Amino acid sequence: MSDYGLQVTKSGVSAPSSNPADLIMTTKFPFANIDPTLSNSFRTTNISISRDPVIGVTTLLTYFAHGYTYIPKVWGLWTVGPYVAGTFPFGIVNVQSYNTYLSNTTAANFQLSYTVDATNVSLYIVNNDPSATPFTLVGVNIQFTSLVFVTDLQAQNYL
Amino acid sequence: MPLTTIYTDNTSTPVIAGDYGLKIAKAGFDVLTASDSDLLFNSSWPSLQIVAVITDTTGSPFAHGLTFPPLVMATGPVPRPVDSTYIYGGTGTVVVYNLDISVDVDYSYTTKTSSSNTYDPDYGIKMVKDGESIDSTDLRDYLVHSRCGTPLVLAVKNTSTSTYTVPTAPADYKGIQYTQKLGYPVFVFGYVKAGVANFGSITSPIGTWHVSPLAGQSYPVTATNGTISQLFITPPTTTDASLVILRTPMFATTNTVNVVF
Repeated sequence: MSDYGLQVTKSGVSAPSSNPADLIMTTKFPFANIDPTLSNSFRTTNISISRDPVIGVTTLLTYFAHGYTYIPKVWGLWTVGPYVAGTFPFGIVNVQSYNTYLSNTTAANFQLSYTVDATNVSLYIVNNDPSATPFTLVGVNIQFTSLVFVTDLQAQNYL
Repeated sequence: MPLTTIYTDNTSTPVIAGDYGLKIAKAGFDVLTASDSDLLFNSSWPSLQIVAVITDTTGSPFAHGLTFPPLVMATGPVPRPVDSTYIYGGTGTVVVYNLDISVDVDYSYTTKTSSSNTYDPDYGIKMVKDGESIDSTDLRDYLVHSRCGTPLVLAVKNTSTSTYTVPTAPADYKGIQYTQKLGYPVFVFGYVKAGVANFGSITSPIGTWHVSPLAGQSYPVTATNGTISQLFITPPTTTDASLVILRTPMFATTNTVNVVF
C-alpha cells in the first residue's frame, strides 16, 4: 500500500495506527460504495402475486437493471406478509446469501431467491408444496429491498 | 421469523461522534452547523469499508486478516461462520468488511432521515486506488468518492447489554433486542457464538460466530418485524449473540416499484 491517504483513529488512539480495530475510518480500505445516481442502487420492489407459479418450477417474478456492466455485490431483503391462516407462515426474512427459504412444514415450502448477472438483478419464486392441494400464494405481497454496490466480486485484499 | 413477544431493548453503548475528523457539507449548507443528513461526507459516520473479497475453492478455513470477527457477506446459500482469525464453511466468494460483530455499540447519530443529493462532479472528495487515474469514470477505482454513500452502522448488540432472559427458559438464556427508529427497512444480521465445536454441523471450533438467519424453523433464528429484532442464547450450546443493524446511506432516496406477478 502506498504511503498516502486519510486515517481517523478512535478517541484515545494515536494516529497513525496499523490496527483496523483502532480506526473509525481509513482510506486504506475502499468504502462499500453505493452510487445514488443510478436509480436502482436503492430500490424497493413490491410484488403482488396474482397467480400461482407452476409447482416445483423456479419462476421469474421480475427483474431490473442494476446499471453496471459487471456483476456487482447486491444485498437483498425479502419481506413477505401478512400471515394468512392456512397458508405459509410469513414474516420478514432476509438473505445473507442469494436465497431464502420459507416453509410451513418440511415438505411444503416455497423459496424466494435472487440472482445477479452483468446486467440485471432477477427475482425468483418456487412453490415446492407436493400435496394434492398445494398452498396458494395468490394474494401474497412480497417486498424486495435491495442495495446494489459499486463493488464487484473480483478478488481483492487491502490489508 | 415473526416476533411473538416484545421484550425490552438492550441498554445502549453510545458512541459519541468526536469533534474531529473530516466533514464536507452539501452545497448551500454550512459545514459547521449542518446536520448529518446535510453532509456529503463525515469521517465519523460508521461507514462500511471493504477489507477483502476472497474466493475460496478448497472449503478449508482461511484467514481474513483481521484480529476480530468481522461482518462477512457470502455469495451462495451456505452461511460462513467467522472468528477472530478465520472464515469457515463451504466454498465461494465472501466480502469481508471492517466491522467487529462482537463489540456492543450504538451510533445514535446515524438515526437521521435520508435525504437526496444532486451530484456535482466539481464538489466533494475523491481518492483513487493506487495506480488508478483520478479521472477514472469507474467507481471501482476509488477508495472514497463523495458521489457515493455506504450502509451505515446503527448498532451492534450482544448479551453484554441484555435486559431480559427468555421466559420459562433457564436463567442464563439471555435475549437481545433492538428497536430501530428510522421507519423504513434496515438490514439486520444475526449471529450466535458457538459454545460447542462444529456448531450447526459446520466444521468450526468453539467460539465461532455463526449466522442466525431470519428464516428458519430451528434455532438459531433472528426474529424481526422490520422494526424490532430479537435473538437469544442457549448456554452452553451458544454463549453470546449479536445483532448487527445497518441502514441505507445518509443520502438515499426511495425508489419504489410495484409489480404484479
